[in-house]
Amino acid sequence: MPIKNNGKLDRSVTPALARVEHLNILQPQKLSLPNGIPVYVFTGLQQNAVRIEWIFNAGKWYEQNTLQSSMAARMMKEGSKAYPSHEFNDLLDFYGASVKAHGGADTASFQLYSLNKHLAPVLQIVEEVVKSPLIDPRDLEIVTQSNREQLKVNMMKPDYLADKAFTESLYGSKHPYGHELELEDYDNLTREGLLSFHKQFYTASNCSIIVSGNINDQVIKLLERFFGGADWLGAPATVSAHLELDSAERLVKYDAIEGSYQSAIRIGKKLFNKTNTEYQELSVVNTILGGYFGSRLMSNIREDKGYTYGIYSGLNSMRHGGHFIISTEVGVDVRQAAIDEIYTEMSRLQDEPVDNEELDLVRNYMMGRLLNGLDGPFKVAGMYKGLYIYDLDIDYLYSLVDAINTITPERIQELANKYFDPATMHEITVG
Amino acid sequence: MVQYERFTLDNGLRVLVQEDQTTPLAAVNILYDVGSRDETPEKTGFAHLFEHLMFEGSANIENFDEPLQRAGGESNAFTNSDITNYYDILPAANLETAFWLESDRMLSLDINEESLELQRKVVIEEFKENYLNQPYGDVWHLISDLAYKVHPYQWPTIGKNLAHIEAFKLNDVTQFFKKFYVPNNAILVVGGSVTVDQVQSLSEKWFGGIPAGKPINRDIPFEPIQTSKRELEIVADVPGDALYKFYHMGDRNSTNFYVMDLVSDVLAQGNASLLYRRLVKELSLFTEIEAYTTGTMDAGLFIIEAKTVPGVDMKRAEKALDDELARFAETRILERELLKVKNKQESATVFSEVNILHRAMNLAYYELIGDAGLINTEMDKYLAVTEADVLLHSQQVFKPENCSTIYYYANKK
Repeated sequence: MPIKNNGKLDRSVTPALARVEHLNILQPQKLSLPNGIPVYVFTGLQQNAVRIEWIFNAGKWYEQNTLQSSMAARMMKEGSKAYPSHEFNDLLDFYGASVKAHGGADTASFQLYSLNKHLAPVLQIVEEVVKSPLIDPRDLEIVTQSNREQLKVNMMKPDYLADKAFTESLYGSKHPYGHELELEDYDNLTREGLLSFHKQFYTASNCSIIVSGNINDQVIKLLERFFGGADWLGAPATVSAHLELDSAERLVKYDAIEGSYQSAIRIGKKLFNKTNTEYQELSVVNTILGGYFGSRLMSNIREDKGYTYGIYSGLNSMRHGGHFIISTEVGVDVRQAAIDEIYTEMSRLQDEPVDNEELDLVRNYMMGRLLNGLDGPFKVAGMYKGLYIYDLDIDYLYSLVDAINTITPERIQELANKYFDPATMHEITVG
Repeated sequence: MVQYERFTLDNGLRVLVQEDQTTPLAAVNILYDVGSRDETPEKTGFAHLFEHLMFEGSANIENFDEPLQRAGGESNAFTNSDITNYYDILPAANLETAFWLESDRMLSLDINEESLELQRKVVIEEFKENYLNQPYGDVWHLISDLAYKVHPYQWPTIGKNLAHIEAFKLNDVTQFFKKFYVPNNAILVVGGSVTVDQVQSLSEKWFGGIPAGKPINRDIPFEPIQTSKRELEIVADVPGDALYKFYHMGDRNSTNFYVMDLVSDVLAQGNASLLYRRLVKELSLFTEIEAYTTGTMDAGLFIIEAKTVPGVDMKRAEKALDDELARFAETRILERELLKVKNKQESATVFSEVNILHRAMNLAYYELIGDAGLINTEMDKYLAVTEADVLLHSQQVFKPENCSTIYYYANKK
């Protein structure tokens, strides 16, 4: 089967590589609507399409009761008084527009995708749903019922249960970052609770807008017209404090499920968010360990041992905290063997300096990923969203580039010793 | 309008180039015209396992991903019933690395017992993760098996069972490679910050010397017309009852496909859709309902899946669904309703063209099904659908004898 050479072509010689030395990142134009809402504009798309994202300080962090954030966001897809659920969705469909709503850890977001040519009528429909959604009791009942059924499915999946147990072990089950849903949460959900949550947090004073795509003056004028008024000023959300679990002491827990084919493994610990001065360098260390397909964890546990379909590690960042997590699903019979290998890889990072060949590869890979992740206004806007809520700007990405290109093997080893010590890791397995 | 150029090498490799100088990246997509429909009933799941083996190195390259990552790139692949599609995305300045990698594995894949054993294990874990270890995970196996009696669509791409995956030998690998992984059975699309001249010379340099394979004569059996309804009852440890109804329909190139694709949107795409409004909202029979087409190259399926409200009798809910479908097939839908789904389609097309990799993948697939130009003209096929078409095709598809039903009951402990 193998053929070494093909005519004069010497296939054993690798084509010369060019290095990605620097990035040209599209900068946002920063504007304000007359009512003070900051607007970040990323334009230059060839297609006549627009994405508008309204971001509110209305994540789980601000909840009085669980589910308020995610359900208040979700119910924005069910219309307003002037355009109740059916009319709202029917008209959006008619104009080929679509919306997404998401309640996250710190913020909630409402995203609109539309062609430029239909944007005026679409924004007219969307205005009311952003400012005062209807939350019809019957719609709420349907959405709740469907979500409950989905949650029942999740509660049977080892990966969901492992994620739940893991975040609880870090932050505590009462903490907004530590609580994953349970069926009982739906018992305390009320329409009034959602309406008051929306009223308090979905206001102009608590809103930012990121606009991307093919953006001209017309788009900005429409935003001013529908969202620039003083009619929904409200007040900025105040940051409440939450009691956070002291999870410094290591927790090791295994919940076996009879008849399960796989065990879900989660290993990690509480760390910090992306504003920490060591975060960018640590992201390089994380990439080496488990942040890409060629990572040490993937090479060992999938590509050498065949224990899993996939294994990844990551640094999760929230406004008020962050953590490190390794996740994988492995055959039940190799559960302990896989865990041992995970720790072996962590120790190896602590004990041995990374050689230059591997570091060089990771540098190039990360630069290539950045280039890809910043290709075009939609992607830059998405990346920017992950910065501005920490009061960071595009400059942050340039300093990330510096960290990628200048970190040394000694520094990597130092960081691995400081943060990736197996003896400090929580270890949760389910299944 | 997506602009592209097209040429064919002497060995039969078709090459398409889609220049876009606004991105610093290049996307390289290779589609091989082979999928699980090319397998035999005793050896299923092989096309997909083979996809895994394609990353295990070739004569001059020990590991596929390592040099690509070193070039700042990333790759992945997927297999379905019709095709196996590989793609690389990397900084345009390193385009040649992708040519080197892709051509070497097309020319001389290097698989030994060890790499076969390893990827066999990985695929078995993939099988467990996606099909065995979650509620309703086996439903795709059940649907395929009930709908198709003769055609190879009767098994899912992952394979019928673990035993098939466990049984493959090195000899299977060699034969499969020789037959299907040849330039005349592949389509290469290069997109991004590249030029036609550059791609032409790189294609000649790296792929030009790969010998053509024998022409592939597919002898895929034709699925006979279903003449009576089929039913299957399952009781399993799942949290709630689910209903699956599926109907035979046309292939990806047929008028029937374009009409029924729009019909699936009218019926069950989003909260403004007919079935959602009637069966979820008004009658409270289902908590959710979905409709979609499989869009396969040979005749496919129109699938409706729904989860019943706890406590609702499944047969009663099914009766209401059948009534809605019967009424739909008898009543002309409103012109506005049709315009609506066409507008949605237009918007989906524009958004899908934003990404260079999507454009490259779409071009490869359209070229495979007969005309790369569909990337610009397919929308016209949707626009040409009339109210009368909807009526006629719905009547053809939603016939009781053309329907299979799976009643998936939760085990009441």
